[in-house]
Amino acid sequence: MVRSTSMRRILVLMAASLPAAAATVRGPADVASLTASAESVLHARVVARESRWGHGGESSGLIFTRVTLQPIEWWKGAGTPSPVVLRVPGGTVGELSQTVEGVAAFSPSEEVVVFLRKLGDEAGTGVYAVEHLALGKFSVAGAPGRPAQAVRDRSHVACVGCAAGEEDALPVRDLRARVLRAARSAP
Amino acid sequence: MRVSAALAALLVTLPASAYERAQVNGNGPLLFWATREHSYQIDAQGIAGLSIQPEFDAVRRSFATWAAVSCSDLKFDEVAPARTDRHVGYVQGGTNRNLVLWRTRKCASVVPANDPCLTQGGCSNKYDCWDGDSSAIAITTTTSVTSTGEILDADIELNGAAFAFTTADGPPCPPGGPRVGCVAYDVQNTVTHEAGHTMGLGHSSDQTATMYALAPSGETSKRILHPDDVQGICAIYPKGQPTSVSPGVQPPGSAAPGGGCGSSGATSWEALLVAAALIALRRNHRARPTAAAAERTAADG
Repeated sequence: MVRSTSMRRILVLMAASLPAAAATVRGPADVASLTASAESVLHARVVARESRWGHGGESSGLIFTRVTLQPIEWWKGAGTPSPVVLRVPGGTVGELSQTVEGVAAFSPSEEVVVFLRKLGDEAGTGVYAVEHLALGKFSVAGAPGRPAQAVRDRSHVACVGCAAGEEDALPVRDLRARVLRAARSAP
Repeated sequence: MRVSAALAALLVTLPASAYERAQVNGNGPLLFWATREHSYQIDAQGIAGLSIQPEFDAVRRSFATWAAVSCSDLKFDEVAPARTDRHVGYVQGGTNRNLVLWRTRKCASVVPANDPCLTQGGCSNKYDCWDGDSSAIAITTTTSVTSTGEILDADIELNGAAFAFTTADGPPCPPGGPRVGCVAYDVQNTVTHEAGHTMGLGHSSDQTATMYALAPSGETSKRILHPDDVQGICAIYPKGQPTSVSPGVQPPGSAAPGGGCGSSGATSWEALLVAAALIALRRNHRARPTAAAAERTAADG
């Protein structure tokens, strides 16, 4: 068991080299700053994803992924209980893929907290973008008997002016409390 | 125990590498250019309020820095700056250039509120505006073949609508102060980093690397490359050797599919190491459960 565990650790360390690519954003990107700059902060679950060409079709030259979120709770902003859509640059349409570096990635059924800027409405459904690219998204995961953790992945984003101590993992209840506190104190 | 020790010793003796490779959708095939020679074009519009020659020269130096790496044979041919269609992305059958351009106005300021491109995307090309996050300084859009990772097009957009780019040497510019003789957002520093992404590199965990993610304001250290950046680019495009691609993908100019490499590190040795460890793991589980149990007992005791 010792041997297996050691080797697993070695493998995990080696496999931890996740793929990365990045845009460059300006910090800070701590929770209070993100809350202040975002129009809305939403705790939600991913219910659908679809990539398609931008307005005008293939001639737009740009692929976008539309991520549908079912709100769990709006922490900032007067949101709707109905699903909302995130428009995320990049995605795959057939044999063409577009990687727009540093944007937030979403998985099916993933529980997330996202800091949002509204882009507009489509047939009554709000369409949003994530603030500060991947830095504006926390993924929520829980383990039995332990409080759910909110974690964000900044490995794909280059940041000028982000502080080394910006938290990327904290209990969801702490994240919620910080967002609510920052939202109250925002001008 | 001996296998673990051998692996650990091997890890210690191998050269450290921290670079990462970009992949299709973050977890698909590794991105790569099929040729060692490709072009880029700076859009002649430049950026308002800054004489264009210094900034264009800074972009050129960024690509020249990568081209100067001696263990690779990448070349970058500059297509003369011109007023292009300023069209970022990729259109099949269209004229696709690897553009470097500055967007100098925000889409929110120029796009009519009822234009569907605001919610569906595409305003940046339609209205020549910055459609991205206002906090983003620069964005690289890479179009590739989904199944192989072969890059077809890579464009760099710089957010001139929100950021003051400089090319001078000097101390960091004071916030809100004049930007003469000081560094705000250095063009060469930014483009050298972004150009690394256009070639298929991701971020490095080496804090000294140009491909490291964090940067303080006024930084210029990423104008040049550092050992980890050189190691990364030479691992993908080794001079005189096939380009490193994902397993099962045929390397450019080769008749055989790629033998594979990891998304990071020094490529094939890591794959070999992983394979060796996996084999050892299987042996441990299947062939020698008793030995493993004995070790666990010893450790517990």
